[in-house]
Amino acid sequence: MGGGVKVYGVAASPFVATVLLCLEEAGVEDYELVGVDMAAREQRTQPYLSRNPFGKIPTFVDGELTLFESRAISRYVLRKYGRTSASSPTTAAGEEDLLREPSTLEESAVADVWTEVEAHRYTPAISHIVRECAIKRLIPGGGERDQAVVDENVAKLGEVLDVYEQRLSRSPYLAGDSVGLADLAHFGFTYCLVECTEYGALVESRPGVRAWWGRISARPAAKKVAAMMNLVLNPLKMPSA
Amino acid sequence: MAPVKVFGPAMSTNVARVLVCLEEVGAEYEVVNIDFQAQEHKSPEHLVRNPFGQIPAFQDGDLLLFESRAISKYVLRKYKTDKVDLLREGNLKEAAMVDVWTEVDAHTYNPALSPIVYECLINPMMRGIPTNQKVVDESLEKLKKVLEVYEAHLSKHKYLAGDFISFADLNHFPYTFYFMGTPHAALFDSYPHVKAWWERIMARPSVQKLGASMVPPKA
Repeated sequence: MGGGVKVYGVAASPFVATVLLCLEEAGVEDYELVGVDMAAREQRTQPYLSRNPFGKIPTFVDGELTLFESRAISRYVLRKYGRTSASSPTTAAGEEDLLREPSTLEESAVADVWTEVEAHRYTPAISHIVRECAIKRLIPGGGERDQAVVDENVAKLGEVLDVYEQRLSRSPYLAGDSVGLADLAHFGFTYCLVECTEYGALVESRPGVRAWWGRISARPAAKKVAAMMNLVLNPLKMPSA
Repeated sequence: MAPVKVFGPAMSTNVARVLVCLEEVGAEYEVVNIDFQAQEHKSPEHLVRNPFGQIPAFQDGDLLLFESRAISKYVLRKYKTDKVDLLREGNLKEAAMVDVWTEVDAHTYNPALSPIVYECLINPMMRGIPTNQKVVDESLEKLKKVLEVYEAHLSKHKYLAGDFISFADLNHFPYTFYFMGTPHAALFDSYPHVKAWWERIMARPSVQKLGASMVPPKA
């Protein structure tokens, strides 16, 4: 299964991490992560542009199908390969943590709502914090942190997380009773925030959010992707308290 | 069966996104205005529908939804027929292409185009804020690069996801409609396949009907 599946990008990119996480959750074993030399702007030149004319990562190939945009790729992976989660923690109740496709119109809609919230409210705010506080330290000549941008986005993310706290005090996952793409799409940036910036308290200080993050990051698939991200992110990690 | 309810003014771009989908599937719906001047979007009643206090929100019986693309997909799934299938979720590859170009609209096309709509129309007409020409100029440069990619793509396909109209195309309607009311509408003339695609979208009865209630103020 999954022969000929390739992801072009770098695992440390949270958008690439979303795709990798979905592949891992779906139990796709033989995908290939093809590195892209971001420092040399390989993604802005041929032959990369012939696969993704917008010159961004990730790009995804499955046989003759080429896709881009991480959430579009992820939905395809989960639809095609992922009826059950191969790597979920087993629980006494058996199948509670399996990734499953929503089975009703209403469930699908609610799952979509929170994927949109991730895309349009969570990620825009958190990505600024991660860029200023972590990514810039990674890139030679990345420049100084802009604390005003950080502060503005910390405030925005706090407001978003207040809404998440309401949701997660009523539901174990954003998608509903079972984990879904709406939850998994948060992994990459949240991992960077918690591990590589001093703003992890945004998550840690909200009990519902903290518990949800604990469940997501404990998943074997998430740990595997974290290990891949660590290859690049380890130098940025905050010292443990 | 009670008509579904969409909360927010029909002129608002994200409300229009939902309404065009309702029109395409021929569903019965009611538009319920939200009075921004009276801070109704921040009222407890509205926050139950949309905890971020924004529009649109949506109600179908007991189901409350927010986020225009999530609402739209619910509508397109619920009212799908053999003739009207704008998500193509029965076909892995087609559904993936619909998703790709829906994401491109959300994260690449719209971020380049919408600042021009805000600066040239919404800010001066509705907020009394003068046009920031620097923002307009920067956005036009970004938009040209995006339209180059669209031109190449639409020279090979009639619509974005393939040779069939889809949710991906319809997503482009609300903001592009208003863009055509700015002084920069002629930009599309430089991209003939994009222009032809846009004219196909504008010719659709659903779009014609909504456009009439979204008449953009002349720039």
